[in-house]
Amino acid sequence: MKRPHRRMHLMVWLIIAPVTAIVAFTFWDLRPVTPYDELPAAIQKLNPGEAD
Amino acid sequence: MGHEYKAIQWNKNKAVYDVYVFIAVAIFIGVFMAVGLQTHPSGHTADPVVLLIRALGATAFAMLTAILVIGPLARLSPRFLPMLYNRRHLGVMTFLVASAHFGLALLWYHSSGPLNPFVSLFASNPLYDSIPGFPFETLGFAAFLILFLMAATSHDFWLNNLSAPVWKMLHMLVYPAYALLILHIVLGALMMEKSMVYPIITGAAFLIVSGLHLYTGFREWAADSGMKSLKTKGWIDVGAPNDIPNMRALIAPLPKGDRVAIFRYDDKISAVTNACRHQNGPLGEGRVIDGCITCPWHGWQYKPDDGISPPPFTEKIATYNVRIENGRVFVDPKANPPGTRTEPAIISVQGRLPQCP
Repeated sequence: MKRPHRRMHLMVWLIIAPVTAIVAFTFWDLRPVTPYDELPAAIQKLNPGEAD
Repeated sequence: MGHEYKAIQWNKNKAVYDVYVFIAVAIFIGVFMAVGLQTHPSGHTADPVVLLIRALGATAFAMLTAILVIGPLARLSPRFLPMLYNRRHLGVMTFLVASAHFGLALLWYHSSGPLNPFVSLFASNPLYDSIPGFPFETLGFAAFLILFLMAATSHDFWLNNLSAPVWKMLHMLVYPAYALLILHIVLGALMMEKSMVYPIITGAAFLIVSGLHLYTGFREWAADSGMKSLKTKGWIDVGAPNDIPNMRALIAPLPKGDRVAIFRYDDKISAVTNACRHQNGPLGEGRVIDGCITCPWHGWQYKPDDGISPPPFTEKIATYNVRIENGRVFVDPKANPPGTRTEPAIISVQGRLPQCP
């Protein structure tokens, strides 16, 4: 008797692995250079008085 | 097995296993929070609730990663087979930890406003066209729904009523759930993370899981393709008797894409289909326990010579004729109807084992 899902496991991972890796890395690479918790200080530095 | 439904088949070993997992989860959360409190940015106050939410999320992700590597590792080495036995328990516990993460996040971030927390979860952040501001919570919620579906149908009642193929297909949704979790983490916690530690750990976990699944998948594909190319019509030479570890099996692909598990139990050799009746589990990765072939996934048992479960169970699997000639084991690729008794091939007459009841 066949175990029908083994081949499907491979097919699913052939799709999921590259798509997830590319999307995740692209999004991560496009993250803000300045972390959110440093934004007030960064804005204050660029435009004093506008970070409140 | 088939004569009654059991939500979770508790026994002493599983209870001990659950206690160990519970302790490991508590230690993981404790260490995560301790490190988080010690390493928060200077000038900021670490929020213990936010840290606990992240600790619970990290724990659930680590548990799901562990669950997803068990299958391919067990195919690579029998040393990992015992981990398959408790995988369903680990899955349900992962859902419980994920529930705590989801519930606490919902209460903390979405319960103080005028909106229903579930409405707030989807309506409070409409920035779907933004990468740094993307509402990553929705990705985590989608993954959580899949985990809920899997935990809710882990009961054998659903397995019996949905049928094994449908049930298995449903539970393969865990792979998209894992991908959703990766994106949930990347678009959430990692967007504002300065340290490279978390991105490296998350990336390594995903690479290990996907790499293992792809490697084992390609390996089996190659093995199957090699056997198909032989176009064998007669009995198949699967190796020498000593190639089969005692109380274990050798799995051989057959010309039509089926797989046969050839078990050696002391001085006898018998062959059955590699697919368990329960969930198509890989019988050939199991062992002979108390004279019965025992599936590594959930312990379903079959007598090696006729493929019938011991009383009071009634399940039957296909058997294959097997013989030994010139020190080699040969299998007839034509399967017998489930439950057909076949004469085991005899290696020697020494050291007989307890018979399956």
